[in-house]
Amino acid sequence: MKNPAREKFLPMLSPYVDGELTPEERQQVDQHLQNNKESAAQVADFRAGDGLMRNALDLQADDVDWKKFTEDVMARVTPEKLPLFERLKLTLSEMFLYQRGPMVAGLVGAAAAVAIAIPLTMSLVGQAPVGYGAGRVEVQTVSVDTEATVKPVVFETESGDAVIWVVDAPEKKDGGRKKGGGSDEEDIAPVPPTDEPKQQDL
Amino acid sequence: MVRPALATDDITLVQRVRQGDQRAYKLLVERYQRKVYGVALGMVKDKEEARDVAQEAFIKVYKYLEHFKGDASFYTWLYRITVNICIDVLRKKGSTRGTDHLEFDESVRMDVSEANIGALGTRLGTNPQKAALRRELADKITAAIGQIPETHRQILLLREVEGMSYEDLARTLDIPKGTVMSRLFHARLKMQKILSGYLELDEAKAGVGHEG
Amino acid sequence: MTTLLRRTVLFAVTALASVAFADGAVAVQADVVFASTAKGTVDPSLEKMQQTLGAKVKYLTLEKRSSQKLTVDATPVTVALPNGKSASVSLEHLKGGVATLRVKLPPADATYSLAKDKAFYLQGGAHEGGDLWLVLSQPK
Repeated sequence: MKNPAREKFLPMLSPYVDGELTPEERQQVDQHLQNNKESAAQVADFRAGDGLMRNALDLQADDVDWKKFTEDVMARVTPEKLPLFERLKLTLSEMFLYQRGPMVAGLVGAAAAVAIAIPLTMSLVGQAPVGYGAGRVEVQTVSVDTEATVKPVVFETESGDAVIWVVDAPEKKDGGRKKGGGSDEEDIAPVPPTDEPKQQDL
Repeated sequence: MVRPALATDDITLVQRVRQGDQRAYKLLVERYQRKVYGVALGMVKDKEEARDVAQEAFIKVYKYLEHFKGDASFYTWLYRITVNICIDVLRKKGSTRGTDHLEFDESVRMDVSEANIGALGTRLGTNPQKAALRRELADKITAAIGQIPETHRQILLLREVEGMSYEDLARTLDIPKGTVMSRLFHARLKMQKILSGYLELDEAKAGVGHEG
Repeated sequence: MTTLLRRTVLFAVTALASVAFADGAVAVQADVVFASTAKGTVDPSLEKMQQTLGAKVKYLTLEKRSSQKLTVDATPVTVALPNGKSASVSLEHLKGGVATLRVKLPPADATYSLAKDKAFYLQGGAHEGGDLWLVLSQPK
């Protein structure tokens, strides 16, 4: 290689091919290549050689089963089984990343169900069962058989309960039905049945 | 429903992997597996070995992902690991020639007289297509890559297979940029010589112009 | 999502339907209790009864002889007492969430309105030296 210009530019031919020269250097090399066919052929050889190598390796890569390759790698990097909480956290995080739509829809559905179910349940729990809407038991009518020798005594307690005693009636009274608001506890003296209890107006 | 595109750049995927997202690592493997294999094949020459090296590289990267600082590109880190595994494999096989050869190689005077200059470019053009490449020739080229010194081979592979810039090459191989330039030049000269020899054999020494 | 909504609607419809169905019937707990002034045991669940009746009679023995949950509608439901008597319970009407029951336990015949967590006590005659009581209350 006697040509001093070629000797000077030769080391620059490789970075020239790689596009790693400054614009000034590139311009100088371009000019040299126009005047030196050997250097121009060398650049062509570099490019052809690079292309051959790239394509040859790419062709060889076609022979590999890449799906299996990926599976093998992933099988070997799968970490030890995480604790349940960590797995749940990870699953939720992955669901949020990769299945955001279905997950949001599911959450909305769940929220709607809770919004409907909670008030409904609360109303069922907090409210009295059917028929028990009153605050205290109220005796509306009471009677005994006309032939009976007993009489009913109604006793409504302060706590809201109601008691009907059936006591002996020495003097037979009319067994007609009592209607109306019933009697208060005050109306009937809390006396033992052996005594004559105060009867309400029957 | 149009779903917003997820960020799938290397750094984002690495962060996801660190959070335990296996799928993110699968994406990284799928992104780089062919090229990592290409580099490994060029280095170790044997297909099975190259496959093992490539797998080992991905497994090692995963294992040490916590140590990846993110100050360099993920792929430069990946290729550095790949090249190191290749060197280990070659060393075990006793086929590595050490640094003596490298020093000699780089200090040698740039003598291109033996290269059949223009042979490749004349026959193949400057951009040979993959479709035009015959399987036997591809095998020969792969074998030719294996003939050049190890340090030249790795830099040439990283440049041609991965398309790394000189800066990335310097970072990956931990050498000055000037050395990158020098090694690549020598590597190309050697490849040019070997490949043109193959072509001459392949085409029964068709007349190739050689300007002095 | 569709399945979830369908289930939610079904749940609501079922709940409303059960309320609507219940309009013609009420649930009533019917206990028959033997009460005696003789010293004995008081069923812990009847301590409130002992207290309620205590204003008139100091019962020292209170035992449940039968306990059943009735579904009471217009058709009388019979509750047998161990002294041979039997009571019949029927729904007179249900207005504004308050049910009125008719209870016949000869010789008495009464109507009363139910109340939440309250009880109705009707003396059912003598038995074994003591008294039998029919206790109607809200089922637990």
